[in-house]
Amino acid sequence: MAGGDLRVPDQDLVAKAQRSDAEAFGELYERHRERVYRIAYRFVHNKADALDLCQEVFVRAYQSLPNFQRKAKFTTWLTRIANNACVDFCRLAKLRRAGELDEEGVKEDLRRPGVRPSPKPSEGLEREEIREAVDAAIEELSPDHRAVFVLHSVEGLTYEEIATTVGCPIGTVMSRLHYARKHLQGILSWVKQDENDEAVSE
Amino acid sequence: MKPCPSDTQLGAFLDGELPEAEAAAIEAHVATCERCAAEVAAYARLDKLVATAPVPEVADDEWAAAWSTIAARIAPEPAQTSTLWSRLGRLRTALVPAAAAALIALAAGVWALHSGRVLVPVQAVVEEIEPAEGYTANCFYSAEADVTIITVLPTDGQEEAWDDNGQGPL
Repeated sequence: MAGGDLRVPDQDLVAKAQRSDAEAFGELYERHRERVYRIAYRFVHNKADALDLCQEVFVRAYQSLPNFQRKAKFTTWLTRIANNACVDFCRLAKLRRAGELDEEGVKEDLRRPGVRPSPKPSEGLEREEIREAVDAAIEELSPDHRAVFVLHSVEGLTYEEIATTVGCPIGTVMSRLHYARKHLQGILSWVKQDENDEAVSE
Repeated sequence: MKPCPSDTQLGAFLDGELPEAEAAAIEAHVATCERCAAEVAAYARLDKLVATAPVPEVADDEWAAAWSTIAARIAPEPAQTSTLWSRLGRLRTALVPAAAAALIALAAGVWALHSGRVLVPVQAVVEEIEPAEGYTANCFYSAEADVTIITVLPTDGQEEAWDDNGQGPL
């Protein structure tokens, strides 16, 4: 990808895309797809679903372009769409699972796939193990808590940015974040600090 | 010692979300309170853990495939065709009926006979036409007349069609 200074600003591409310039929108896709995918992945813990969601987000974004205010920052705006799509997806998935439970009655275990990492004698074991543990832990959060936590921890948004993105007061962001942290701490306490550091320092 | 800040405050302190004075007060507190120091450290560990947990990589072709889907979904209604290529695409289906095929054969035959001009087969174009099963498509171009003629004929009766003074094997 081209160096930051030489690139056409997002806003210019947005303006072109608003005039149905698919190529300009393609450039926006290339710039922002990784971020959207990362958010989606942390929501759904599954590459195929995350890619589907990524597509959905960009389609929704394109269709909403006429409503985009030039003053707004494209990334913030896109993140809001991504967040909404992810929350919708999780709610639907939950409903679907509930439906399956009603029909079959006994699939209690389906609700918690319980991804427990099984040790494999290969390099990068810790990273995979950590990924699975984090995925499983975040999956236990409600979509609303997940949203706040993912935007904070994965995307590093400020409380105010999260509030804007999610559409709730800052106080709600703080309490949701607090709840999510407490919950995840409990679940992830078995992940050793040194393993974590190992994964981080590379 | 002052009472401990709430965990929410400790989190906000770690996140750099507190006003300066409040942040300074909590920093001083954390320096002397083991419980709060441990809490902040635990939050920091959790954030780091999640922020650095790997995400499965997406290959270039997967990104490209995703874009194809997006592009198809955001494409406007098919616009009125303007190029020869896209017109050929429409002809592909339009020319299926035998009647249409015979008419074109007639036009081509008559034009070729009366003008006496040389028609050059244009293979590349023919391959794009893909006529219905049982039909053969031909495309001729005369640079002299700057005319392109497309014929779609029943495969079996091709000779017959040309020799039949335009009646065609209908």
